[in-house]
Amino acid sequence: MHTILHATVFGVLALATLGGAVKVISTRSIIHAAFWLFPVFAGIAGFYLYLDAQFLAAMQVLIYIGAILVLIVFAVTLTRNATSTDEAQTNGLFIPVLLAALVLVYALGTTVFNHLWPIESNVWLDAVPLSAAVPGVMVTDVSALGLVLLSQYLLPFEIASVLLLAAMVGAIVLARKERTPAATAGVAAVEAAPADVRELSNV
Amino acid sequence: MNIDNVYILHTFAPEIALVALALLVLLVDLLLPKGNKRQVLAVFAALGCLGVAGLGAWQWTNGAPTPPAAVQASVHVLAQRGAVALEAMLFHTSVTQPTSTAPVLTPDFLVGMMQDKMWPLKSVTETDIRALYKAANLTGMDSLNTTDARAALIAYTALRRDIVRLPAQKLGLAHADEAVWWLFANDQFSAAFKVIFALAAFLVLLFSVRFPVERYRGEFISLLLFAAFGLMVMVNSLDLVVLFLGLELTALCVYPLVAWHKDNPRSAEAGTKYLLLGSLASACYIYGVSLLFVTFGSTHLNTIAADMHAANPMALAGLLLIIIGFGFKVAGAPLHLWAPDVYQGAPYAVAAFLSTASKAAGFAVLLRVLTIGFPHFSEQWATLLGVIAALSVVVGNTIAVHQNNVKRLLAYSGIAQAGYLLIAVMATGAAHLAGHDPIDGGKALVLYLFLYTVGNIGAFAVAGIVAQDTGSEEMSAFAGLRTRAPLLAFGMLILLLSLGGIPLLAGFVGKWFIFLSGVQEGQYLLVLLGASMSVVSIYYYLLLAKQMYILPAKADAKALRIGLPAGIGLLLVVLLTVAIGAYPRPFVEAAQVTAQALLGR
Repeated sequence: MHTILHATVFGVLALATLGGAVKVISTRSIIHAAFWLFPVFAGIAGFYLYLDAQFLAAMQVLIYIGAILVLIVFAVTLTRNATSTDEAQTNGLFIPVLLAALVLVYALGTTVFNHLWPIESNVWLDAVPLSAAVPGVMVTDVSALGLVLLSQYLLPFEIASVLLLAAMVGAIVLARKERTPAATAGVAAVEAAPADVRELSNV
Repeated sequence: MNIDNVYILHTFAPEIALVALALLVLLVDLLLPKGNKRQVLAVFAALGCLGVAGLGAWQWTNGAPTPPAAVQASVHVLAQRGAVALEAMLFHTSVTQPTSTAPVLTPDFLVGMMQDKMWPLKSVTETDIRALYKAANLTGMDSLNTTDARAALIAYTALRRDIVRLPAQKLGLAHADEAVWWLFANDQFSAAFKVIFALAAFLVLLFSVRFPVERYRGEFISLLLFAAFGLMVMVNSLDLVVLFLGLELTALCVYPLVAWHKDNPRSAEAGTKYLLLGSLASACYIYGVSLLFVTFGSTHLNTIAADMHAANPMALAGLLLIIIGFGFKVAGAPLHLWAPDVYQGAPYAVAAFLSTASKAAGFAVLLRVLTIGFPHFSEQWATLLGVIAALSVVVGNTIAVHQNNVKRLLAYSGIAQAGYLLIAVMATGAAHLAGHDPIDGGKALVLYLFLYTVGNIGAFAVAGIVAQDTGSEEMSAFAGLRTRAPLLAFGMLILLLSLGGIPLLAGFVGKWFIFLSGVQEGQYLLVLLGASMSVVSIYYYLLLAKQMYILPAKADAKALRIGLPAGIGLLLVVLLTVAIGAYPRPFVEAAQVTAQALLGR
């Protein structure tokens, strides 16, 4: 009974993830492809839950479904021809890329199936639960993460905040609308855009 | 301020100074009025970078810092617990083997036991035991303490597999210091590269004073400084995920920098291209790291090296993906296709930074990851790097001959230089395989990266100055530079000859040591290829020299003004290039010490 339940949950999640992924690349309409990402991300979140990683599952829903998917849908709807279905889905490199992909799948597949997974060897490390090490503190998954992040990984954590600041500065510069187009003309001339490029920019 | 904070300030002085400088630049930029005063900001930031380089040099002279008392104490505790664990294991075996009497636990006795069949932990090696005893200051124990043997075993396992493996609380460690100690190398190798990056940022900023980045000057400078900070994180980290943080920090700063002139379609295209291909390379890298994580349960280089006893196919797949990520970063063929287009579209200052400091970081990290984390795979990665090196040298040099655009010429020459550098990395692997001292390859790599960074930034700067004056990036823009700007032309000539490897200039010394390290490991074919291809490179460098010295200037050409900051920078670059070529001894010795810090053990 137990194994059947496990197999069913796993099967449903795998079907949602892989089926969604196949539809993402096979559907002709780009907006449909964007929406098909939903079962893929949700299926992966389900896998995280299934593997007892609640925090990761919550993050997956928040970031991938809540932010990235919405962003993609916005980007698609703001692009011209969002609903057109007459774009070609393959180009001349279809066959070589397929061959390369098959070789990669074969190599990774044989590696994964032949690998001796360290399920047994980790016994010693997981023998003592975290709550036993810190007396009087009820340690959960998320709080353990927080403790580690702000003690052991404090410095990488701070580096990540510098990363976010730098990314924000860069994004603002790129996205900001110029008020005076005349001022920028000088720059373009000095950077010596060739004639064909200059024509392109006038179109 | 407690002792831990002092320690962190001391260990990360250049990084902290660099971030502080970047934030200061952002702030001052808001207060300054628009216009030429912003150029003062670039000079100020450049001087700050010089200070950062000084801090890095100070770290380098001080050598590796000693761990603070807190770290030493907890390592001591761990080592003692580990020794207790060994005792417990011994007790266990003596119970199962009743004939043996309880002996005195000396390291020699334990090592002797290992040769016996009854040793319970097969993966514990002799080195582990000796290190354990050395750390615990123990010569032997005569009492058998079996209490809590299981917890002791956990402690011992943690020590062997590195503290990073477990959350600090599990071990009773709570100092952030210890994490710093385990996650970052803080050795002379990283200190030397901090100097190189700060120096590169200094030169690039000096040359960028007159470059057309009038808009958002403050943001431009601060992003450049943040990028240099990311490079410092990269070379300093011992953990593949922290390394990824540095990699992404740099990449996220460089993407907008490449697309800085967003009204110019070429710049925007370069930015998009670099973003897409760079993200692909990052994805390859992090996928490789994830494969290593499932294999070893850790992303720490020491742990990976300690747990890898045989060539494991999963780890090999991970390593391959990681090398692909770095191969993109250093623009080695066949992962070089982005470089010419991106350099062409990027502002000169950014292209100079990208082709030197960023590449230097890629090589430094490649050397650290491969030699520290994957010595067991020396054969595989040395072969792979040998192939990439040969391809890069041939592809870079042959395509560079046909280039008319100076930026593209420098891009392809950079690909060829990456090929020479890969020969040095490959030589360390071959040396490890043959049981030789791998120091020569490392020394050649550090030396060449230093002189290449300095020289190539100079070459890009001259190209930028000429392009700004003539409005053309073609080689013909250099025509008659001898009459228009004699000093500039002479400086460029020296830099080009150095890049080509003419004796008595820095490039020759660098190539000499690289090829020497290859020959010592019996890589005659590769060295022959590199040497003959560097003759080809002299041809296209001289094509540019011909434009400057033999062809006449255009009739309407006026004298070219360089500006004081760029002039000082150029003088410095040329002097360094000549100095390394004429009197290489101190530089070679410094490179030797630097490589020793990483490879000597």
